[in-house]
Amino acid sequence: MSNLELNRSAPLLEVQHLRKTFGGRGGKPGPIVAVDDISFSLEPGECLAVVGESGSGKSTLARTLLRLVDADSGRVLYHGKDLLKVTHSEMQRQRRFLQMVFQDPYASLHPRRNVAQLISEPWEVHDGIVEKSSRKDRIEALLAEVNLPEHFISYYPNQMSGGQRQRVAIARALALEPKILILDEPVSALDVSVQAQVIKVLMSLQERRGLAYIFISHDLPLVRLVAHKVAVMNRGQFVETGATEEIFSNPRHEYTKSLLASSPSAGEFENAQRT
Amino acid sequence: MSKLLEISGLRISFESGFGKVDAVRGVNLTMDMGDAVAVVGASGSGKTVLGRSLLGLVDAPGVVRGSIKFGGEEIVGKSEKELRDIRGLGIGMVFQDALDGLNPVYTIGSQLSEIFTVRLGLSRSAAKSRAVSIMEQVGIRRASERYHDYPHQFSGGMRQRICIAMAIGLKPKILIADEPTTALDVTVQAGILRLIKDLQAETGMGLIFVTHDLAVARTISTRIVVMYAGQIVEEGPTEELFRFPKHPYTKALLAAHPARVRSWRDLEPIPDAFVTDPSSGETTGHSSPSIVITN
Amino acid sequence: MVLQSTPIVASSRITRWRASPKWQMFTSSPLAVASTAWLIFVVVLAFVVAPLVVDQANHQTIAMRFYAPFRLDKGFEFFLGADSLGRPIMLQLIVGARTSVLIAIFAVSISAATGYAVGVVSGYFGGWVDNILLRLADIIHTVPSLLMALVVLFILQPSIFNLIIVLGITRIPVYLRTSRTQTMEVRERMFVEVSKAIGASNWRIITRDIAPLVFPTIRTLAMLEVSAVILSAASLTFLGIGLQRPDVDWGMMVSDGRAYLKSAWFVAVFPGIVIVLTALSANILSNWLRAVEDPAQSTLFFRAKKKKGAAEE
Repeated sequence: MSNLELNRSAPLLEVQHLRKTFGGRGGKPGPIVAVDDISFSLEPGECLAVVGESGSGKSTLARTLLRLVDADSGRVLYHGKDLLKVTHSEMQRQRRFLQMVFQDPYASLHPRRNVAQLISEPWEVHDGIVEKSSRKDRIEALLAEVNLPEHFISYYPNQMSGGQRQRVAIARALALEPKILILDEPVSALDVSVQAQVIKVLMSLQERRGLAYIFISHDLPLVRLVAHKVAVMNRGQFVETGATEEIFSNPRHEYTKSLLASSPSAGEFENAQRT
Repeated sequence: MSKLLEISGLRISFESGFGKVDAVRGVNLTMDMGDAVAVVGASGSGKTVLGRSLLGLVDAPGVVRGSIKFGGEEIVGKSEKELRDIRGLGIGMVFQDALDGLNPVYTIGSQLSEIFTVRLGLSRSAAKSRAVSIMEQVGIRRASERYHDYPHQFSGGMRQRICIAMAIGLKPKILIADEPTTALDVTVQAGILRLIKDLQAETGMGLIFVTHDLAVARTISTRIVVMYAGQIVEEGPTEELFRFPKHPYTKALLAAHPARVRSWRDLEPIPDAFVTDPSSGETTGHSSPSIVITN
Repeated sequence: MVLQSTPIVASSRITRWRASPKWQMFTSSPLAVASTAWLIFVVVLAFVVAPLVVDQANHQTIAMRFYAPFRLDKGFEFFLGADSLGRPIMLQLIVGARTSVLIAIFAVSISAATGYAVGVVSGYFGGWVDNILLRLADIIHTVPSLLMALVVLFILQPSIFNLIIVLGITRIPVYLRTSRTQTMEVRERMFVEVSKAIGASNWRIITRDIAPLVFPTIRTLAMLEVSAVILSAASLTFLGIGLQRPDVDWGMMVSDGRAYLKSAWFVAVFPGIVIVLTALSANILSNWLRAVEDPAQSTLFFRAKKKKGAAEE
């Protein structure tokens, strides 16, 4: 549990009654409800975990927030503006503050680009934010923040391990100095022994930069380590939400209980030190 | 009395125009009926290649040296035909990706029955009823109806159960499971692990469970073997290994596991230098460090 | 408890990484080497030698009519004999090489570039854009290209330019389809979604993310097509369509020599051999390239490895 002091003033992001269905035609909602009336708020510096299995709608939720997929209805308020309704060019500006790290480090990096090109892509898309001359320095600074040595700057994805690739993806996501990071199963594709590298980087970044995270995962022990708040998602709905420790010590919904019980680390694996 | 499985001095390397990769560097392992052994290691540790070599599934440009004795019989050097006799009947295998093991254009019923008609020479109807009963055994409800369904009509967990059914259908003495639950959701994973445990208890077969996750290994095994860079660095009864890990790598694995710490600050990531990744066959990025930790 | 006293050594288990296995593979395949040598030879002849011998090649000498080959007494250029107008066949072949190579290169470039570009756009956007472009390609594809070429060239004046245009356009569909299909596959990959999340425009995604990955397939296809175009061009000129003297290419030479097969076989046979060798070489080379890039298809070129998992010692 991070002992970050949370800023309790205005929430950074407010999602209200978000809804997304699939299979609809001509603007009408379809039969498959991926995101069913989701509402939540995100405070600055907070880490909200969205816990669910495949089919729960968690990835669709992430994509809806970024407008990679268009929601059917609902509002996503950032600094008072509804991100779902702004113009394309306004959305471009807002994209800077809301970035995403994708699940599969083996697929999310373009195979023909080296680290320098990968990390500077956001600067090329959003002209004028970082001068060409200062890019190299910024890249090196970002690499240091994610614990990658400087010489990685010329490496290609196939020369790096999964954990290193994911850290490059994180560096890329930080390039535009976002306030919110959406992390879609950031370590699920990695071996357990490698997850620690990435988690530590993510958490120290959060502390240092005061970032807010929406941390999507199905891995409960992991979520316990990183999140302040947890929302358990099943079939498009939040079936239970609450502070992390509450959810873990006092789960109320059946689904939450079954999730906790299924984890191979349930109970027996944990250190005697834990309460 | 020969052991069920005896591996000694196993070395597997891959040689191609690009160079040579030593995937397994001298492994010794023995196993009896009823043993449940978990082979734990990261990607690139050689654990998957090890599992596959037991069935003679290491293809050119891989070269296998050393000895693998199954029930006293040497596997290394056997011809394809001889290996085929062992596969399924003596040793069964479940792979990580259920879609690998299933042909999408045939119904799963026909794929299951095929095992019985081809290998045991059963009649079509006898094969069908065996297939249905084994489907029920692995927990597929309404088995006789679902017999006619195609792989894509099943969920990931169900498909994996079918693959397990195919692996144990001929009642092998050893079941090798290569990360069978890695791609599955947590609740589904729990079901599959329970299934494997139950099957093992029922049949008394030996189990080799390959995984990268110590937590999973703990729930399913009585003995754990830790692999690193192609070698076994530690081996022992499961509980003892967890309580009193001896080798630095084992300790490092435990210290890096998210479920073992109270705060993320206590996580001790395994340094990049010790991470091997097979995607390009190289150890990561930089030149080999000169750090050597001895016991 | 069995404990190995193994140190954690992170040294590489990879030994002998060779820098460029492609060169090794190349030199170990005599077919690839021979084909490349022939093609280089033809190109050198076409661009370096041809300009020097054009006048001599077209010089008609009645006295040298059907001069038989393999004799050097009248000069080196008559080593392969002379045709019905006394023109030295060897030099005609060289000038013909220039024509054939030019046609092949330009026609393939036009069709490959157009098909590639249109295919990527079509595959990326889908929808009605895709539908229309696909239908257009279908139309071109359905009509037998040779027939279409025949008709068009019959109407238009025969010239190298027209021949190139016709061959270029009729062969667009195969590139378009390949490019489109590959684009549709790459489009679904995660790094494309990443670019969208960063806010990249469609144009940027098409040109920087997708097109470079589609390019290798088009390149290989183009090489294969070179041999097809050479054959098509030769067929057309053989039928007397598309070119007229003093432009000459190999197909036309074969056509000219057809009437004299019994008496002066060499007039038709030498250009025929050259056509076959060139088309075959282009074909072999492109197959080799494909084999190198996609190891699954390499059976033709590389000797079978030792049997699986054979034990040594």
